[in-house]
Amino acid sequence: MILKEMIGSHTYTFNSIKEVLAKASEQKSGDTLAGVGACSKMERVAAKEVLARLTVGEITENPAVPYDKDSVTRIIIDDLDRAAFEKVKNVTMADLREWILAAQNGDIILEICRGLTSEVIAATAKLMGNLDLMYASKKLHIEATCNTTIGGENVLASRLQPNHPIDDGNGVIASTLEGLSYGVGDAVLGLNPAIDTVESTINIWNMLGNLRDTFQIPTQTCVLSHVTTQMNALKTGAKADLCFQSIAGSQAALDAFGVTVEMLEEANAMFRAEGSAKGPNVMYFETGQGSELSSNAHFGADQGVMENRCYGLARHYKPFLVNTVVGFMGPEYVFDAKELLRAGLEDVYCGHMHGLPMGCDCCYTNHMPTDQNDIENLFILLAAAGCHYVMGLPQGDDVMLMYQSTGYHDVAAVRELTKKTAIPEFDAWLQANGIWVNGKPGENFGDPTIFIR
Amino acid sequence: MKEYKNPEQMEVLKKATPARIGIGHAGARYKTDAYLKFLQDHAAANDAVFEEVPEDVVKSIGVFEVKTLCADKQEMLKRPDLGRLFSEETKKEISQRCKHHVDVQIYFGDGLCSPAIAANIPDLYGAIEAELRSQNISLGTPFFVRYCRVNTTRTIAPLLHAKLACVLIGERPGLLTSESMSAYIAYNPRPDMLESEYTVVSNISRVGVPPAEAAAYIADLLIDILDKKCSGVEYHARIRE
Amino acid sequence: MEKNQIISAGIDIGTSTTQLIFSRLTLANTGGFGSVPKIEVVKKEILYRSRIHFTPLINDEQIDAEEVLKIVLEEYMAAGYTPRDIDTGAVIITGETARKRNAKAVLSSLSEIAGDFVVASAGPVLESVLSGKGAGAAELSKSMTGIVANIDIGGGTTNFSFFKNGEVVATDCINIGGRLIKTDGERITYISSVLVPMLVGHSVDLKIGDSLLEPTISKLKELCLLMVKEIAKHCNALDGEIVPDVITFSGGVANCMKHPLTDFAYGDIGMLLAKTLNCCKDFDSYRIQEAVETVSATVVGAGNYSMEISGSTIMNQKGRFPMKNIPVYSLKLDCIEDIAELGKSIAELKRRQQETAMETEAWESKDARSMHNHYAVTFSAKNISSFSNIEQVANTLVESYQKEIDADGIPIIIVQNDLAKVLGQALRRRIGRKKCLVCLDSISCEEGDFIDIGEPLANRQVIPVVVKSLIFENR
Repeated sequence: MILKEMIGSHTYTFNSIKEVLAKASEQKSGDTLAGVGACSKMERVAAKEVLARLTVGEITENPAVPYDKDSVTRIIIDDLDRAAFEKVKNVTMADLREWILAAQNGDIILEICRGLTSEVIAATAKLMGNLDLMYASKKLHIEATCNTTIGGENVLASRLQPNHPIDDGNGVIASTLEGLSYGVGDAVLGLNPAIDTVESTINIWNMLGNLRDTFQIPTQTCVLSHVTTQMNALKTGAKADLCFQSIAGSQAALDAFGVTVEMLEEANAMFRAEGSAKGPNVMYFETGQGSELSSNAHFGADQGVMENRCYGLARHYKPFLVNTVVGFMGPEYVFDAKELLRAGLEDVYCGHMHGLPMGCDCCYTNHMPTDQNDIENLFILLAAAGCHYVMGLPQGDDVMLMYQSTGYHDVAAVRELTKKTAIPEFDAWLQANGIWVNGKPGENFGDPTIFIR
Repeated sequence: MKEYKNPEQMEVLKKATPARIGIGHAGARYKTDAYLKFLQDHAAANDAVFEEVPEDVVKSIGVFEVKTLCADKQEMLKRPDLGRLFSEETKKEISQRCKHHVDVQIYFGDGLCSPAIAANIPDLYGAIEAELRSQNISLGTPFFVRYCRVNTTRTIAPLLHAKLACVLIGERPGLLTSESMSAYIAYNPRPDMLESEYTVVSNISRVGVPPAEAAAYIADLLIDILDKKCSGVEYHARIRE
Repeated sequence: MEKNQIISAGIDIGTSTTQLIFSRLTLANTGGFGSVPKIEVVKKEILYRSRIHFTPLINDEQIDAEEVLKIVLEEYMAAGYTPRDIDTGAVIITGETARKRNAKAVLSSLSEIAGDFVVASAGPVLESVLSGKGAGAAELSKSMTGIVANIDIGGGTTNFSFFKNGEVVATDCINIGGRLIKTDGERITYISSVLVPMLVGHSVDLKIGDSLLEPTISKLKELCLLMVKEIAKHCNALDGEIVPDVITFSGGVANCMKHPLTDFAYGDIGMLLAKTLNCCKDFDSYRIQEAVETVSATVVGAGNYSMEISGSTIMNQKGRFPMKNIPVYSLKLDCIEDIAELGKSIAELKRRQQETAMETEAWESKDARSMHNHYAVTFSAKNISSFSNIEQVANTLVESYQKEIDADGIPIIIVQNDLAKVLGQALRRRIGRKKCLVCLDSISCEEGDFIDIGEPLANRQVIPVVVKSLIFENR
């Protein structure tokens, strides 16, 4: 295999496919920190040239972490649709890229994708500009059903994130009612708890469940504690719909989260059998570029490849929701607005290619040189790219996790701008409550006191 | 048009959470007041990260200053690995200017929040020092580290042969406060120690736990950690026994 | 998060009934991960409720202490607890009973067998607050905007408590209750002297021995109507400034309102009073909501709500708790400017303390464990936060109390601002670790209050404190 490219008088050589993939990546501070990124713009282009000539088969044979050493690799390879793979294994990445961009029917792309490993899908993104990513991403609609069904062509769903510094019940309810009054919460009412105990998880879960039942809100609930805490909560009588876990792209990185693939398997089975949701899609995963490097479990691969491996793992469990928390890891992984925008577009495209109903937490921390304008830009681009859902927070400010994301108002404004709606059942509920009427704010828009008797 | 069907209830809801609720709307966008308040809070937080601790602040605290391998703030943010290391020269300086073989080595770092130093150190360090001295704990020479990450403890404690290191460091600001500080405490810190060996006291600020009161808690904690000869997860398991 | 559970007992010896509950209070650190711990009571579960006993009396003026003791012991047995299992608790003699001649003796004998309880007595203010909290009115007021009033109608007194947002805004107490007149099935056997002004004022002619036939029945109905009008008049507190939006009823009479029986079913006029209340239109302008507890509101309040928790504390002594009936004096120390005047303020405080101490000595000395010479000093220190100012405050406090400290007195300091630990350490550095010292925060009290300080709980992380606004008014 020749991993060499001559540009002008300079010859760029690469020692492995892993290195080609890393150096072909657009600039990210995390790849620089890991020492795997391209050293110059020209080296990056050279790597892309080499990558374009590689075939699907060649990349498939070179996973980022060896099959026998890693449970994530095994899931990705074992889940591969062999027939689909056979169809494309000799296709070059250049041709695959063009076929994806030219294809009219998203379902045909998704069929072929079942034969593509996460490394292959990651590679296609490295040969695409931002608009390419959006253009391809937009064709892919992935339906999944928990209580309601996400993935309709014209739907822009939202997770309502009512976090509170100490999980105070009244505080959580206050933020939830406010969010509902802005039309947010159709993807899930999902709280990140400050306190990860079974008791507290049950309390919040039942509180959200009761609220949902009282007002007959067609949606699902989730408390984002550790997966084992949620399983115990379910066993002890929580009214639980969706099971959440943060995941990473290698077995070693999963270890750092205290998670194994067996644990996820068990959780999925348990929530299907005993959870309060209709299903069949009952899992919710979060990812984010850089988490493998942060636990030193990236195996010399770039963060784009490792992120894709999360999606390869996720698709095994047919989740209802998956979202990248694109700007939460910090500036050492995703530095500024340019890197943030790129990472967001890559992740949503790659997630869609994995057949996942992909969402994005368009967010940033206060130690990044970014601001609210930057994530508003990312949000509107993702809406155009057919992203399945985003987050909704009170003015985008998370008072527990101390970072900023998209606000309740932003969800409403982007729906209005792009003529998208909430998940149909939820949209009907909003109409009935005078919150969102005919694609515009209704008379009760922004008034949570309508829910108080 | 009336904004809320039940304005009094809106006040009850607002009281239940520090989140930005009940802020109204202009179409599907923010009202001007809410928009500007957010910008103000974010500016404070962002500036707190990117601005430098002024030299005269360091002087007024009365300590000497050293710097990690980071060239500037930007590099510190992108390269946490450099933010924990010192040049040979700097290590020599620290070694020469500080007491060795102490029980407790306390030092200060800008971390992710520069204003935290001026806002907290005088009360925080003053009260810790007074209590430790009264209990005959030997205390190292304090100093300030610019572009400092928590893991500087792994270098500093072995360098000075300190039993315990405690770095008082600016914490990543949220929009509610932009001068918060944390104390990271490690017993017997060394290059290969685990992250879980840190005991952390966070949210020290005028709006969180006031620095003087936090200091009293930290002083007791330091003495107890010295006594139990462990910190972090192991220490918490011990005190729960 | 570390968690601790403690068992609390509540004993209410009322005018007509005596009750007891055991509850489990869950303490937890709500300070958030990695922050300075903040210990609070996060959950209250009632584990055992006693039967409702009639309060045993020797005669109309004296409680039968021996019988009360027997009831309490029996209930401990039935619940499966010994005094040693109980971490904290409150014995409360309420209502008209609190004026019975041997109330104090009953209390002290009870608290000996009922474990090391923090509190042993209640005046009408604390009693009103406890019944309101036990009835759920405080909680209810948190979930709405207006004011919730609870009216606890017992055997001898009616207690009013007004809550806004969970906080007490006013209390009131009047001598109206279902057991101020007793009957034996055929005649009136007892008329409380507190009724005399009402009977005389409205020319209602009732006396002991009247048989329960007409016209006595009509006269009793007339009396009940007068009582209900009186209750209605007190629904607005502080000269009409506080008007409730919601009213809840608790106490034995509220129970009768819910479960009507024949007029003299309990051998008193409680049922008649309840029926009159049910028909009365005077409460129509308020929203009436059901109380969480009716007949047991006060005992639930005593078991679950009498105690406050002080988290940041310095205590330098062992084996000297509980400290009971400690009078509170307040000091003006809000801001930095007050520090210069602190010595003078303390001198004035001492003068006030000595004057009051002489007055109270008489009854104080009867309590075996009363702290004759001890009193608590409270101040806000609202605008004081710097370490150097705290050191100054510590200097002046120690100078001013040097004599008392040398004589092994125990300075008890209650800071309203979040400073107790740092001030406590500063004081301890000055007086040395061999001397005793108590420094508390998170407790709101003011001059004129009395406090009980209990045995430290939850690995000595917290101290339970009961603030009694007025005990046994001198009448």
